[in-house]
Amino acid sequence: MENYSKLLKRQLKKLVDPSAIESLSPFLEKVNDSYEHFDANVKLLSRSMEMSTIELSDANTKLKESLEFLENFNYGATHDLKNHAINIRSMVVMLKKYNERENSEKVNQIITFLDKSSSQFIEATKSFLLASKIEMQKESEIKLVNTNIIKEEVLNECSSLIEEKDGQVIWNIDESITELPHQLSKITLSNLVFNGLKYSMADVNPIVEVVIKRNALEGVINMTIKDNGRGMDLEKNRKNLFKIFSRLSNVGNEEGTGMGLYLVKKMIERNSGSIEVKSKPGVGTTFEISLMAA
Amino acid sequence: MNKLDRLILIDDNEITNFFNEDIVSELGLAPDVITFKDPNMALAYFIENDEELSALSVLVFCDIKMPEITGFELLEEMEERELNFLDRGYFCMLTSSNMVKDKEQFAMFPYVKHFMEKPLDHDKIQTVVDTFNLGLNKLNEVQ
Repeated sequence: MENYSKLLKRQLKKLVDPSAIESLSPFLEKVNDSYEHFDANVKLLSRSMEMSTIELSDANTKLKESLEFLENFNYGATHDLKNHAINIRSMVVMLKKYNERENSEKVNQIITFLDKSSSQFIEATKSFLLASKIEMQKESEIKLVNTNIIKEEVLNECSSLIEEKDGQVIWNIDESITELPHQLSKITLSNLVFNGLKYSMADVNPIVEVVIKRNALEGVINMTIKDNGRGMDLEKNRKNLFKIFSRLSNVGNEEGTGMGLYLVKKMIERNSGSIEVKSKPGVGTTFEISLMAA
Repeated sequence: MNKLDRLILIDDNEITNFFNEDIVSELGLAPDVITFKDPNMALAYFIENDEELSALSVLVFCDIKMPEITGFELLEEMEERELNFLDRGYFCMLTSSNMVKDKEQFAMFPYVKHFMEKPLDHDKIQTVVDTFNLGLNKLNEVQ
């Protein structure tokens, strides 16, 4: 760095008596020090400005991403909820009409539809609330719960489907695994078991097998959920499978919000786990999940 | 008044279809009412019957947001196949979200004459039928 005191001295020589310059020397040294100090500060400042700009642009990208997600979520959720509400309203309008005409056949049909759309409305509301909850929190707090409670909760969620389709859920859990992360396991297992039962093949009783094993070597817990359902063409669907609001072409008449697998993946990834899928049309689907052992 | 030969309903939701079928059959709008739950089936039907449909007066109520292909994508598929019915048929798109996104897309399809918010009711259908009879162009019914 240029020595500012020498520079100043040279300039002063042209203007004042040389002896005066000598006496000014300590002062000039101080000026020099402050100048260097100032210079270093400017450099530091500009470096930190550069850093903040990078951080800002990172934050900006993240913000843009979540804004995009929110827009998409808002559109999908509004559409879905409004559709259910409109259906409920439409059924009430029809119910009034056919009740007046004492057409009990129509009335019964309408009541079935009312029952269906009102429960779909509740289900959709629940999954949207859960999605926004997951989206808001940075890392989900892990609360462990007894494995049997998880099993019970999952079976509870699927009970009407098991009854309706005469289905079966087979559990194969390592004895050493007595506890599992509550929310995560419940949401993941109930969604995947439910799907395995729901998207069954015509005239085949659905069987879903849940295997939970400890892999001590890698310090993870592996979950496998295997069904004998209609399977999917992964080449065509892999890209959209876990996307929010996406529903595959072979869902047939089955209703759904397109939230299930999105929520499952999101929850697993929030907990530093991973999920893989294997599937074959007409044979079935297997999900393989790996979670950090608590 | 009744000049329609056929009415086609496309919506992935069975309850919406059940309601719409009821309301259009009540009004006796057309001798034929055909409903599609799967937009791909509707597309196959349009391709197969393009010649016949183009010679008839047909009104189509089509939902926008459906899995796999949307109502607008269905129109694009028809466009790609250069179906004559696109210009001859009378298309009314239905939405439940009334979002800017849908409206913007609506503007891009010249042969879509209407864009309406669900649910359908007698007044809304009457508006479509009246403009159809008068041969009017593009109306936006979304409030």
